[in-house]
Amino acid sequence: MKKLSNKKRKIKKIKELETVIVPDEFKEQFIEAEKKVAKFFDTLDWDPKTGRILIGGERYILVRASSMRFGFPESLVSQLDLEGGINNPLAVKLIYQMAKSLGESDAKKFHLSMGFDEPIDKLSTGPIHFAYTGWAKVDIKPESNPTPDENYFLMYTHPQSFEADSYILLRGNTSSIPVCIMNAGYSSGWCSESFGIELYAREITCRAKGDKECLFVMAPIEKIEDKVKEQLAKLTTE
Amino acid sequence: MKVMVGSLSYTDSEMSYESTDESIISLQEENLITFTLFFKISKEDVRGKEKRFSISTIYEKEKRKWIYENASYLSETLRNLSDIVKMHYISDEFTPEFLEKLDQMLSESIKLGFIESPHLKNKATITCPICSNKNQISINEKYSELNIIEHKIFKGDVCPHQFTVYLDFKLNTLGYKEPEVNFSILKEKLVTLKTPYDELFEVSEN
Repeated sequence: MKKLSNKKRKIKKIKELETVIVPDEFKEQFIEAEKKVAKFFDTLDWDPKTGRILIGGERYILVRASSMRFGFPESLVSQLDLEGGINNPLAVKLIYQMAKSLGESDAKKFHLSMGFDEPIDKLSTGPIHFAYTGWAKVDIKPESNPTPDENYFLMYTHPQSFEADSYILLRGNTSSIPVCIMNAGYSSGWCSESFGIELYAREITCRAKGDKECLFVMAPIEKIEDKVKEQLAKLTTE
Repeated sequence: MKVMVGSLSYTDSEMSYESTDESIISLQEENLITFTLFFKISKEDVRGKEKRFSISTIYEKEKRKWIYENASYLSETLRNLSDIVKMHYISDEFTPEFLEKLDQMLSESIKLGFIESPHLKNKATITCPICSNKNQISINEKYSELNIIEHKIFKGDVCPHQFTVYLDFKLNTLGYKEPEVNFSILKEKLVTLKTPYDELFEVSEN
């Protein structure tokens, strides 16, 4: 079995955050979280001879990002004869819910493995886990207020979102809607599981539609549409 | 562009009804063109019991086509200004407060694109988020720089789909409202999907 642990990373003491960008007041928390997540991913065993990838003793699979996000949904909507292709609202909702379930499930297992009890411990490992699994880097904005109640609000960008990158590679920045639906779904799933409240995330600007960044807002479901409108209004005055 | 506000008294109150509304007037010699709104204010102590006012916006003659294209918005803006005039008119002289308010409203109107900007056009190019069809849609909501416009697009406006779009004050599309999705349609469609497992399910059901 070939062990592909990154020895350099093991030896290096983390002084600055590498896999996530957060406001200063959260830095200490996230540096600790980064150490824990790095330790978890150091257990990576990649063994093509037996056809297994193990991390923390669990099976993982590698899937080509573009196949997951565009190939699979396009084939599905075609077979179901859903008009509008992958922008069909049913398809969008399905992709979002699937990713949200993945986020919830991954968070639940990860928190259990790591022995986390505190919501902030659970939440802070999410963006780092996200980066390690290749979805995107996360940049949490200072306007965020991640409290485990109805005032929860998270504003963040996903630089190098795998969905925007894949779309741009296929079609350029020509999308009429934000495409990072799985990014939104997964992050809302992870945070919902971490805080024990139902959260919803929406992408409001996207590189795949020509915007400068993939910007998301996350809030309790009953507040999300107002938050989206509020942030869109702010963008127009900037 | 310049703005003039003028007033006159009627000699006979019956005349007042004949001359309301707005007018586009060319000033040939000056090479100018005006868009003028006429309106009246009741006043018991003047002849005819009413005073007649006008507000004119004055442009270079080259803007003639633009004025005609945007006449409905010019009209609305000047009517808003006329409401301010009505509120503040007490005697033949306007108070300093009124003039300040008028200045403020004019500068806001210009800043918001109601008067001078090409954004005055009330048509937005809307792209359907589902099928990407495009069409020009008239936007009638009142709007300002500080708010976004939430506009519902009905079936047939752009394409066969219905959706709600968010626009900025320049009528650029900012985003779309989350559509309500009925998953029962998906369930019906999934039943029609053929897979190699269909036979297995049929056996189980029997």
